[in-house]
Amino acid sequence: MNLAFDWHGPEWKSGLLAFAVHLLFFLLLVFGLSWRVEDSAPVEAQIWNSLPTAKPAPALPRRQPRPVEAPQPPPVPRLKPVPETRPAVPVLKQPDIGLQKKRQEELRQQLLQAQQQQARLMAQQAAQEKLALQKQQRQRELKELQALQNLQNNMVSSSLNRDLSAVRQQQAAALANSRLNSLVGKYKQIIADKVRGFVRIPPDIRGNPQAIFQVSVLPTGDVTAVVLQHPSGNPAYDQAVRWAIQAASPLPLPSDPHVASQFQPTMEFSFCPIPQEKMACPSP
Amino acid sequence: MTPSLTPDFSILQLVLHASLPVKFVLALLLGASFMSWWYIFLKMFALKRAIKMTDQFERDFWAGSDLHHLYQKVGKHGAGEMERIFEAGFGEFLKLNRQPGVGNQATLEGAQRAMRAAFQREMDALEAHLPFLATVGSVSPYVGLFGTVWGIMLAFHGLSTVAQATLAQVAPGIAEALVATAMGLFAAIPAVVAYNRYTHDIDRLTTRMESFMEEFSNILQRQAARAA
Repeated sequence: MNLAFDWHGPEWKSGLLAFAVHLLFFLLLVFGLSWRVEDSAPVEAQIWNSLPTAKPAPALPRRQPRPVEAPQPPPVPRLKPVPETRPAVPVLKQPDIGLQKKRQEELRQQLLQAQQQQARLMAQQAAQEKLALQKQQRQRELKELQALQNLQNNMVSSSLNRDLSAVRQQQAAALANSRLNSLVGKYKQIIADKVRGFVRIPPDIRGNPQAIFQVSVLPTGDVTAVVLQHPSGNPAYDQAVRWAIQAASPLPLPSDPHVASQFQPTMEFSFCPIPQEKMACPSP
Repeated sequence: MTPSLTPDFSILQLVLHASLPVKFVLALLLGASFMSWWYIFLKMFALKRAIKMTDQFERDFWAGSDLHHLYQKVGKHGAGEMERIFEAGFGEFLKLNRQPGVGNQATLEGAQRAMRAAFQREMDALEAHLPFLATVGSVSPYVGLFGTVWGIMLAFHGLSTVAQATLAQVAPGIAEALVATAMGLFAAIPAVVAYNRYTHDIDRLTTRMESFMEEFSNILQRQAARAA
């Protein structure tokens, strides 16, 4: 079949090209799709740790030599109201201070006489200890003050709380009651609307007579018994409403068992031909 | 999705971790894709050449040169499809013309039959491998889908044995399964495009050759009438 064509040249060429296409495809797949490579968030936490130690360490030893000549306690307590930084900084500072002291010593030994510097350093240490003691004292005083304040606050608030909680309980009870009532009223309306759809009101009705039934309902809403409590005066109308209640079974009951308990096992069902929001039902 | 997964979650690892049927499907599709690309390029070169040669021969033929001269020239350099049809038809015509006792009509019919045979041979050569492209184009998505479904089945089957199912347990399996669909589509799309393109090109060539055959038959008939 192929004798008419010279396939020899193009065969190799197209084979190579096909190979090149697939190579490109796989390079695209391997390097083009970097699947889930990012997620370098935890590394940032380490950077946070190293930053605060680097900055305050060189600042502290320069300031501390001055208090040796003129120790000034007043500025220190003013810095105290920042209690969050206190626990973190001293823990990290200590190793760095030691290192810097070493460096300073080496530098000064090369430049100046060593003994003078050592003396100064001793003085620095003494001053630091003094400062630390003072700080501790101040902190203790502050803590006591805060504890006192907290005690006072607690006493005041607890007495207030007692009054408030009583009031709140009453309010909550009243609220729950009103909610229950409104829910019951809502569901009475829903049931009445459903029954209304089944009522065939006799044509000889005058006014808006109200019939009240005692309806026994299963938890599913199925009507088991309908007993006439207060006839409206029109037996045909009473009968029509009775049939409608039976036809409307199952009645829509609230899903909340607390509210549903108001409708079970028996409920009082009053019905008048014209809905109550349009015309008041005269009680029979 | 979760940082607990290995960050070098590359396609190669996906393929290496795939189950045996998925691997088989991937290998099958890779083979089909390679073959189809091979044929795509092969056909591309062949059709380009065929169209170029046909253009050239039509230009020469309708330039008004002598048929005998054209007949001598054929096959000096690699002949095109239309040239070979002309060669077959004119050669048969000359042979029958030389034989005594063969009428004009018989000579013409013989030349036409020779041209028809050459035409069919050329068409067969041009259309070779096209059905393969059509098959790859229509079947490989289903083969890829089969691999994917199989992989997902395995992924969910593995999920059923663990107490607490998380996305991280199924995600690699589903990802490796989806590679099969990607592979199937990669094989299918170029094959379908190439098949449609080449079918169209071959249709046009066929039309040109058929009309050439009719026109050349008329020319031969005129020559036979003049000779007689």
